[in-house]
This record gives sequence, structure tokens and C-alpha cells, in this order.
Amino acid sequence: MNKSKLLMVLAAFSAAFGAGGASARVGVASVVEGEPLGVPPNGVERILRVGIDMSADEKVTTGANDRAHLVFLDGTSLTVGPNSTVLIDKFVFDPQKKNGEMALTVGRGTMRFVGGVISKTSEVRVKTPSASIGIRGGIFTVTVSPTG
Amino acid sequence: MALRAIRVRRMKMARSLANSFLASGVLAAAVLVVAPVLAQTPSTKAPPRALTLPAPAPAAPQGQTPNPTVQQRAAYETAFQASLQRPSDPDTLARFAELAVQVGDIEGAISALERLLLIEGDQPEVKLELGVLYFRLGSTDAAAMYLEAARASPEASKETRERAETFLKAAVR
Repeated sequence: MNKSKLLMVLAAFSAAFGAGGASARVGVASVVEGEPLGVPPNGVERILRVGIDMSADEKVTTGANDRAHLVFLDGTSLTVGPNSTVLIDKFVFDPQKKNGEMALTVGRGTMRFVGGVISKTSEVRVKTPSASIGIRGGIFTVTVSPTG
Repeated sequence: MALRAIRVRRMKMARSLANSFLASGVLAAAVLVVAPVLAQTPSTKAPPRALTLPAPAPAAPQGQTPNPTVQQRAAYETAFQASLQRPSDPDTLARFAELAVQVGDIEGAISALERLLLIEGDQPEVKLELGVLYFRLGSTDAAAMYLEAARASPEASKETRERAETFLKAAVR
């Protein structure tokens, strides 16, 4: 393999895998109190600040004095209350067709959900340690007690 | 934009929302049970509650479905993108909420205004607007909570108190 072919192969690998560390943006942190934490799929934990991009598969964790408000690309908003963990299991949105899929897991604590475009056309799936539910549209609050 | 200008704009928006609702004279068909425990001022920490998974929001009642123009829809989309770029800018949120109501995205307007409360704390005009919007969704409990808060706020003008009172009477009817 000559040098130019080798460079082309390396460039292809870079394009295919180099973006792996930068997950697709699904929304932003819009309001934060305290120092809520986010762990995106690349595993590098960061303190969520206003304007930080959120990723699918990102886990949000709050302490006793923390709260995080997130806005998604379809207009859905989530407020993660104190002492909570919420995992964005899935977020896929087609802004042209105005549809998509969304799934969340609330491990503990409180999450308030205000539906956006996705929830108006398909169920948003919410899992907790003891229950799973699909919800279409609307506004709801999920609280998971310390015992699950 | 100066804070006073924002407040004046919100007052106008509250008046506009209230008038549009009173003109329709129609209550939403179903009741959405909402526990807005997180839509509080930053100083108030809500304790965890039992698992609450309420019913979904009802569709817009017949005759109330807005028919936005292409321009309104475009302005709404632009305002939404602006709200993603400036997610905690009060003026951007107020503008988006206004346009969201115009195109019938009541949940979007509620989300933006509740964010505004998280950022700015006691804003009786915003609470009045939220009360009106929840009222439109048929969520009378949440509507009453915000309307009572608007009426009780020491910052509320006489007009805001009177409008909150008017809606409260309808909400508890």
C-alpha cells in the first residue's frame, strides 16, 4: 500500500470512528441549579451548565441541591428534580416529518415532563424500577420513592 | 431589553391570553392531572412524592384549534430555535411562549413560562399566564395553583389580581 492510499484509509477510519466521541445532540440544558451532572455515552462526566448540548444515552444525576431543566429538539422539556437520576434511553426526531421516538428511565427521584412534538404523534416510554408506561402528549410528573 | 419593557410585554401577553380565552368561552373537555412540583421558584425545594402518572393531555377542544398562518408557523420555528440557542434568556422565552400560543402549542408555552419562573422567581404576570394556559388544557388544579399564586403575590398589580380572581372563579366552578 503506497503512502497516499494509506492516508485515504486513515482518513476513512477517522471519519467513521473519530466522531464516536461526539454524540448526536438531542437538546440542551436550559436551566440549572446547583451542579447537576451529565454522563454522555463517551463516559466523561461533566457538570451541566446552561447551553450544554445533551446526548441520547446521557444520564443526568442531581444531588440534594441540584435541579436541571432540559429542552429537546422536538420541544419536549424535562425537569430533573433533586436527588434524581434520569437516563435518556432514546431520542430520535425527524424535524421534517415531525415524528420520532423517545424513551426515558427514571432511576430515582422526580422528573417532570412537558410533551413536545414526538409525544403528540407516538408514545413516549418511561421506565422506573417498578413500572413502565407509554404516554401520549400532555404533562406529567414521575416520582420514584427511595425504595423504588 | 430593559426589565421594565419585558414586564410590560408580559402584561400585554397575559391580557391577550386572558382575553382570547374569555372570548372563546369554552372549557377543555377533559381534566389533566398535573403535579407541577418542579415549577417553583429556585428557593423552594420540593420533596419527592409517590409515583404519579396522570392521564395524557386532551386534544384541543373543537372550535379552539388554531389555524396558524405560514408566517406565524415560521416565526414560531425561528423562536424555538432561538430558545435552544439562548435557553435561559427571559425575552427569548417570553417571545417563544407568545408565538407558541398563537400556533396552538400550549405545552410549549407552558414549558417556556415555567422556565421563566425558574429563572426569575416571583412573576405574577407569568403565573397568571400559566394559570390561563393550564385552564385551557382543562387542568383546573394546576390552573388554580398558579392563579392563586398570581393573586397572592405582593408584586401583582390590581389588574393582575382581578384577572386571576376572574379565572379562579371559573376554575373552581
